[in-house]
Amino acid sequence: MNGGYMGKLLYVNLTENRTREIGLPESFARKYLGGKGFGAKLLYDLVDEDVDAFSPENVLMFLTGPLTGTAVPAMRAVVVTKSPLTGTINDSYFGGHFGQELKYAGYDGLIIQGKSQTPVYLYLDAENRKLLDARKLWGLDIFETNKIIKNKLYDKRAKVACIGPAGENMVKFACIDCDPHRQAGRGGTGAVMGCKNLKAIVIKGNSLVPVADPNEFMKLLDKTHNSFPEEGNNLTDSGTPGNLDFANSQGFFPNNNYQDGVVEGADDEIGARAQRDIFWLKDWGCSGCIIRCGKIGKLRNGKYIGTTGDTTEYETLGLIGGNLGLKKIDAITYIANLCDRYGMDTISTGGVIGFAIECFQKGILGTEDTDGLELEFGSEKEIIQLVKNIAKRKGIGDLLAEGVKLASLEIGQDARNYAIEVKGLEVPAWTPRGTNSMALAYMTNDRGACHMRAFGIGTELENGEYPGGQIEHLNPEGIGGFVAWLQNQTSACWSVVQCAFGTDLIDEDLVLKYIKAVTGMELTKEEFATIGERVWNITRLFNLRENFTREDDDLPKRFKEEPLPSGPSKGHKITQKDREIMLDEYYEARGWDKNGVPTIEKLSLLGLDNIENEDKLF
Amino acid sequence: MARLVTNFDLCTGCKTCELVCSLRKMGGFNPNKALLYLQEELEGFGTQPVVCAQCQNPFCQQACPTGAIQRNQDTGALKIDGETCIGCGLCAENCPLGVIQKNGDIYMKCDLCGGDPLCVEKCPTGAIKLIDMLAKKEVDSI
Repeated sequence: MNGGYMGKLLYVNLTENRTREIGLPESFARKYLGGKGFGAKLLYDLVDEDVDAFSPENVLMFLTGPLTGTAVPAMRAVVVTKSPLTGTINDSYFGGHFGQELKYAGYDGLIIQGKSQTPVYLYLDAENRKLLDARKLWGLDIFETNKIIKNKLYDKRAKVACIGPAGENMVKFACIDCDPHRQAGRGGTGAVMGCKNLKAIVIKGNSLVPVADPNEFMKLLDKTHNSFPEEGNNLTDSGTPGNLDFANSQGFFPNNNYQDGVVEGADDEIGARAQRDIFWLKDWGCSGCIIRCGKIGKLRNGKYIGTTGDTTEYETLGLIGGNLGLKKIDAITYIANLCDRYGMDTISTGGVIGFAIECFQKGILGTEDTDGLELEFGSEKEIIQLVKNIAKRKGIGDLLAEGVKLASLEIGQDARNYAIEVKGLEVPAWTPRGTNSMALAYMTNDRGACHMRAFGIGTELENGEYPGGQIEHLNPEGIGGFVAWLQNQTSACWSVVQCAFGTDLIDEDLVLKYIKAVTGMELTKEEFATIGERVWNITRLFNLRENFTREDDDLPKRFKEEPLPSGPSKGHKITQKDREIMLDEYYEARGWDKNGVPTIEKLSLLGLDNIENEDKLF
Repeated sequence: MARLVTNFDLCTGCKTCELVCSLRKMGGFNPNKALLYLQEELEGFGTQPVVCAQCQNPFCQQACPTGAIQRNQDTGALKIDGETCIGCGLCAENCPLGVIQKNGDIYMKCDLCGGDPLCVEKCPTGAIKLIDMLAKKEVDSI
């Protein structure tokens, strides 16, 4: 490799208070590329099935890709760990500048294992890599932690990844904040960091990310910049809230614990227009990114005046807004800010609170269970109290901090009927009853109900085509191959580590040209596609080893039994028969058997038939 | 004669300027090594690009013991001559803006890329502009 990669990973053992550099062989980079690919293989090698997510042996990894830290727009990094929420592999992506700084410190990735006796933080710069006392930081929220590290301990150019009280309390959907407002959000990354007694990672890098062919690189960068309109695109204009009008009009927007897919009036009351009126101040871009989908701002009036933050994102609008019956943008923004402060995923927080409210309404939970709180959809004060209780694991918050799946099993009775999760991961803001492709994606995605592994809604609504053929909206046939194809594609892109919002700007051709210019490594489209499929299969092998089966590739009961009450797909649900058709076709398209186990032929085509022994970095 | 002029409200914090500067001047990517930087304001809620002022009364030039810093008469930029620089670091120490960086054994500062500054060219929002001081207008190069 002549550039792009830094050529080494840093292994940190918190139990033994030691660090060690691990060389990155070129063959490993070529086979797994980076990000998700590195993470899948390393997690497979390092974390056996008998290792609990909260065991010191679980690893917490921060991984970059070959283009992270260069000027190519929309490149990110990823946290990979075994999820305490799902027990699956969990890869959780973040923008900003922290992943880039890790490369400037000279590393393609950070692999953290073990558990410190007392709270510590990791500091990395050109000369140092040390674990330092964090007892004075423990208990501080995300913003306070950042402030002290940047204003008192180091300086404002230091990049910080940290957890808040939710991570310290091992709330199973706690996130890691990677410089304020960019989070490794889903699957409980922050809980794993908290259980290791690791409060923060602080980096100040002094190394250069080398580039194999700078002239070619600048030509490609010109092409990318010139192809982007000066005024930007939809994301520049409205950020992710721009999705709301579309999702709501198509019946994908969650309403009151997913009972419906439309929220009357949400477009105007909580979408981009509402945020622009009272919240947003200016556009904000991640490292090298010209899309600038971030919208930083400050609430300018109302009860929560002065609350600062980045965009109240589409997913937050869905789960804290629609799903909890809240239609006030200032309240949603304030609650999102609370979640950011405590370090909790807003999607799962909204999912678990929506579940609690419905259980209360159905009489499964009473005031004796909720510490006296009268729960109902839209009850701002009680919702805010629940968010605080979850972060602190107080009262019913302690149960809800376990996530929807465990909480529903613990409560018993009919609570499972209102638990909207797949493999333990709360469903995001794209209700799947009007889209078979998203339904199948939720069923089969490696970390459960995730919308970022196979987003085929646009193609499905248009009865569009993919290289495997044409698909038809609401027809379960033909969807299996489509979803597998999408997952393979994203799996390759997430190994680069590309941001989902940059894949239009920088398509596959251009990604491969950038990889060549930066690293010198020439990859064909076929090789790139194979990497995606290979990585997806490793995640499947990991989950199978964790005893996940075909039975787990399923949807919440609500989506299978209750027809969608409104929107263009009104009356539709994903029947058991639909599920079987889609799963059978999906497994077949993947070269897996009827139980969803990759065949040995498929594994050997992907170079994974000897995965137990090959390509081990440890 | 030209100067860089920066604009707080157009800057989106993306560091494209720092990234391309570090590639051109240092030979690889690292915004911390660029010859300009984004100063965080408002607790991270905005960034002000800080660039070399090409001072009329340059502390760096006065502090340099070997006369390595000379002004280019066409661009108006002060450049450190790599052959004459002995790497003592007095220029960087005396720069009030902190925009002089070490590169290997010598120091480097913004020379307006010889009249065609890459930060100006690549900033996606026009937050850094090149102003021709004689014509008093914005230009692409000088």
